[in-house]
Amino acid sequence: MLISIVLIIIAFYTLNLALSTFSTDVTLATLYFTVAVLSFGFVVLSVFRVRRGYALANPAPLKVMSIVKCPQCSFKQIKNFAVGDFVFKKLGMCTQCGVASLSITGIYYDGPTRR
Amino acid sequence: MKTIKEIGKPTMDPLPQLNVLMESFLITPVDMDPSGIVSKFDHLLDVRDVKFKEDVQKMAPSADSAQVNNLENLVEASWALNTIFRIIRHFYLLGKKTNSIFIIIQLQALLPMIMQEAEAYLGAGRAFAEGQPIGDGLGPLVASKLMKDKSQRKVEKDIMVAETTMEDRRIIALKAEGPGGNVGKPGDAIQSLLQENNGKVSMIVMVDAALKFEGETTGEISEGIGAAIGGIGTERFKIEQEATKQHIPVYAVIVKESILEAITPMKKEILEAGDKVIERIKNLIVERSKPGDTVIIAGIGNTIGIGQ
Repeated sequence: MLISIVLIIIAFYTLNLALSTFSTDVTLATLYFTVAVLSFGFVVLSVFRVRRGYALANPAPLKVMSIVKCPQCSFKQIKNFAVGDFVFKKLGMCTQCGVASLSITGIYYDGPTRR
Repeated sequence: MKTIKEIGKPTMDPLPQLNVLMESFLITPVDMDPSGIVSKFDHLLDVRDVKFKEDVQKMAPSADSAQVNNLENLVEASWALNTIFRIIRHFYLLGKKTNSIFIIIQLQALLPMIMQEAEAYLGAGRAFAEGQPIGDGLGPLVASKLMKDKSQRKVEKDIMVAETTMEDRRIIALKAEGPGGNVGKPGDAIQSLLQENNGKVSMIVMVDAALKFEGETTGEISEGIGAAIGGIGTERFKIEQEATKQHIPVYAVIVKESILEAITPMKKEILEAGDKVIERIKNLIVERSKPGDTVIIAGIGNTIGIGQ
């Protein structure tokens, strides 16, 4: 943070020098201008890095779904994952056909594409 | 800590024990004379696994065996995060101490990859805490689809085996025992199955999740030759040794995914790849074996959230 403040001060100072010396010495003005651009560049880069770091440190919780199917009939339901669910867990009676063959056939993460 | 307290209901504070586990390490065997190093490694990993599991069981006395496996995986993910933190802190402080900008620049250059890995372990922590299937569970998912409703038996360490038929071939399918977080020892299981069926097995097909390169599509399937199994190499060694002894070809079917996708909850594309993998296996065994042959199909990976 302190380094960024110092760099911003240097950037403004050298930018001022570049503008004031532009009419008398173009080479010196270009040098001052380069220093100013570099200083601004470092500050912008470091600010973006910090922002990205915070963004990665707090990912949103994932939406996980369980697929419930009955192999005897066409019954299929997609519900939110609950702790204790697992693939091929038997859930008992099918509400549609009345046969005790309802089970979880798949669990997946449903959400935006991750990097 | 929160999950251990919720599931395990410990009578005393598990924090000191957890801190001891977070700082634990494994000293690898001497490799100056590499002869016999695989069995030494295998022994060390067995000791580590047993100790880890017992320590987790002590911290969470009310947890059942599947929950202990999930908590063990969760502690391992936390251990990995803690190790990343310690390494980063080491190089950061070393750079400051020695006033070396080059150490800091190296750290800065590697930071995007390190952050990606750390994010993956963070996601894995949530999946392990709730017992959700992860991307690495693709192999066990395929094997469990083949094993479903078939008579099953337990072989070797935490491996379940069932027999079925596919395209007139006898199929021996195996996977780690679920639904707790577990990879088992498929190397030992395949070795003992090959010895049990001495000379009768005509091919081995291994199904696993594999890391993709950037630009490749998640859920893409590839076929290859060789033992598709990760880890330190002890399990692969056993499979290769026994397969070579009996001249059995080993085929691999892999599903591509990133490191993040491998240890965070299973994506829809990976789940859907399971059925496509079974079709690819069917084609493979029709091409490479004869009716009546015996084929071993091994689903490799962490079986968390996947029963059989």
